[in-house]
Amino acid sequence: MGKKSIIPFGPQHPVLPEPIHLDLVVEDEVVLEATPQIGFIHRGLERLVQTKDYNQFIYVAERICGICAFGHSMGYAETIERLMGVEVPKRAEYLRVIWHELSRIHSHILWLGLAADAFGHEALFMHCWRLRERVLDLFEKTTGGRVIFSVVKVGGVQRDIDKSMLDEFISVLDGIKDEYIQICNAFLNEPSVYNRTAGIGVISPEDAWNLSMVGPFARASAVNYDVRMLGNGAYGDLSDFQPILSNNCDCYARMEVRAAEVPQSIDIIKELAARIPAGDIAVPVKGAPDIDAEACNVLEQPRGECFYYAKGNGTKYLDRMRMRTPTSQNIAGMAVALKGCDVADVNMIVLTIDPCISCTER
Amino acid sequence: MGVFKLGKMTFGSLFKKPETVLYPIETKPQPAGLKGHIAIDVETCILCGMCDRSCATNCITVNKQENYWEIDRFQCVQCGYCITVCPKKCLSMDPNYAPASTVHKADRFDVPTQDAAPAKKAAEKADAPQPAAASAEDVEKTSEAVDSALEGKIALMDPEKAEKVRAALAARNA
Amino acid sequence: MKFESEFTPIALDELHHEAAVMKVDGWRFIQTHAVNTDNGIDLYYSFMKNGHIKNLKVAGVTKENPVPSITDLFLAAFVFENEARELFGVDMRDIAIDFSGALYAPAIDEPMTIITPEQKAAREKARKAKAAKEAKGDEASAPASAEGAPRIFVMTPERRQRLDAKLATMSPEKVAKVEAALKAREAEAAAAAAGAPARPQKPLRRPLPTLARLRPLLWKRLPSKPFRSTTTSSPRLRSSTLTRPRRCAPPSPPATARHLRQPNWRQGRRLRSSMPLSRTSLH
Repeated sequence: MGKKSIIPFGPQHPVLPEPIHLDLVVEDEVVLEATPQIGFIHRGLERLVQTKDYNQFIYVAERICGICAFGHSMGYAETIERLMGVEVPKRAEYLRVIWHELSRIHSHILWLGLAADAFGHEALFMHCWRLRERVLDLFEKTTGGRVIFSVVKVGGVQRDIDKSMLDEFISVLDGIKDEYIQICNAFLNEPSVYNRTAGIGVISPEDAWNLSMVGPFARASAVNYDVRMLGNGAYGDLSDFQPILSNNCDCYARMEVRAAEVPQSIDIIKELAARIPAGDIAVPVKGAPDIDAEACNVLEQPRGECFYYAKGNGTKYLDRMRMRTPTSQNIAGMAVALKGCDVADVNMIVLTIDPCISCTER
Repeated sequence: MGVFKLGKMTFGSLFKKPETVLYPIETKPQPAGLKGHIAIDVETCILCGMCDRSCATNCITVNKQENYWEIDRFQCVQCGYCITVCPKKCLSMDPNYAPASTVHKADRFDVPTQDAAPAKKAAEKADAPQPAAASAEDVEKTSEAVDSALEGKIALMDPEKAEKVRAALAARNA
Repeated sequence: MKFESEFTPIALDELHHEAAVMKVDGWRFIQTHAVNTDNGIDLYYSFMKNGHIKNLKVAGVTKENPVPSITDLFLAAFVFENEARELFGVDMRDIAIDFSGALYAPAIDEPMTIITPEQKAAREKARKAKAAKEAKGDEASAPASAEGAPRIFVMTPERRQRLDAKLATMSPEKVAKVEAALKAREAEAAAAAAGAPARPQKPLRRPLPTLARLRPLLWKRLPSKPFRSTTTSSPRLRSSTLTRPRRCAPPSPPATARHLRQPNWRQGRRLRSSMPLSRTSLH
């Protein structure tokens, strides 16, 4: 029986993408248990509903996270629209979904670069982020911002995308797709990558269900759940949407699932761009939510299902705004996945979960 | 297991244009809708203060007494909410980024006083006598009918507030 | 707006039992959060099954009512229960991974229960206005607390009277504009009622496509068997628990963090601690 020691990992570590702290109880290179700890970027954003009215708060909601920025603004706007009973025009729904899927592409390419960098493949990291720059250029042309867009408002969207711009979207995405598949081939077909990730950090399907995991983390353990299946907004008009699942439940499966979601998102954008209806892009929203009116909403962000809840109190300030982000749900799963792995595998497991801690502690 | 899987991409990069530009000698062309900084057309501004009240970061200051409109570029997050709420549409988003600065200062714009506007209105009134007469009648009707409508509301208010409103109405009618 | 959601009030002593029933019925736990109200804290527990969200609401929890934790049923709730305890002051008992106030370690205790005086005044005003409107006996539009229902403007006789009184004071052009707008709104409402057909409900799809189907489309060659040779002498491979995936044992929650205290640099920031701090122990 060896000596147990506790290794603190994070919040600052060269391979750790997010400021999470893990206390790893380690015996002879094997992690016996891992206790996660967060709280390093708590900004108290949910308290800001008391000083920002429901129109201004969307700009706060966007800035919860830089990677999932569009998802939060879209989810918040949809929640307030449910709360106040506002019906958004179809074109605005399509535009929101197109931007959201583009945001998913950018997030997954970013993640792939980080995963490669943690492995030591710096060149691959640079290539991935170079592709991501093309996506950010698309965002810049249509919304005016690269990371924080400020293009969604309660009642619709603020800017339109015309036909020529949509065609440019499709041509840029096709250009990305070829190079992206080359990169995935290079990375996922690599024996060193496979050796380091296959069979590591396994969470069985039953555990994944009991731990209420969400997102690609859960879909790699065969949990058949993706909020886009529910058909909210323009997702309901997709002809065929099936979530990408894997039965292998290990780190390699999670990487495959995330990598495969990018071509799926490109196909969704193409389909919606071909069928986008003409019309208004916003409806005016006047007044304030009623007293004791409540509404909730779910949205599939790049990292999983995000839950929003809003409560009104008759004034233009909301009573309560709650955003439960996917990583806060996955932390329990991460603590279980880390049990029994080697110390050297800890950073790979944390990366394949794709944490976003600034979302978790708003 | 192949070798040089990224060989095609790497070899191609030898001949393609680099992805980066030689900044600051060259700059990247800015798209038209880029969220650079907030610009104001001072001729149209009426100093109503809507942008001041609605700014999400409280970076705009509108001073009606001294006729200036001030924005703290460091606080501004270029969200564009002030642009949507401005009633005169005098604010716009300029695609150039605000330049870096070593000193924390706010940009202050002097708004020309609005004497021109009432002069224009008086000229219009003089030109069109009929609408002027109608508007005088309207004003009388308005005050009476509005008073009666207000009485109903006053009855519902707190006693102190009711006193204040009645005093204000009396002052206005006097 | 494809999924339905509902808010069901329950009592505090029913909470754990209801959560257990949900687990047995196959509901998936979404989240837990707290809302600050005048009568105490309202706790919401959200679950989802087949596209239907059910929120169990426990209203009016005060500091005297200890709340049982549901982490024995749903381990993922520990983050939210710790958060509710720290930011709202809810007395949660028996959380599986208990941070004892060190999750966010806010500088002010229970920061989410603090409401600024301006906010309080604004809320009071809104409440009085609503009470006044209801006292007038106004036939309001469709209750706005119904989710997803668009506001339908109903022209009642009282409203028409008040509108006529106002219109009498306005200029004729303005009167014409208002009447035109009213007509347009009525026409819209009639059209909406007449029959914009609802979007057909699509059934939830339940296939299980595995990645194997997509692989040939995505990349050219994938390993069909592990690359590592079986004769390697890596210590990891010799350990039997790691070569096969973990099977069916229910997740045992990690040991509580009580024996892991904050490092000393953080103790200085905490203004109040409810439990005595002890040093980190290595055993």
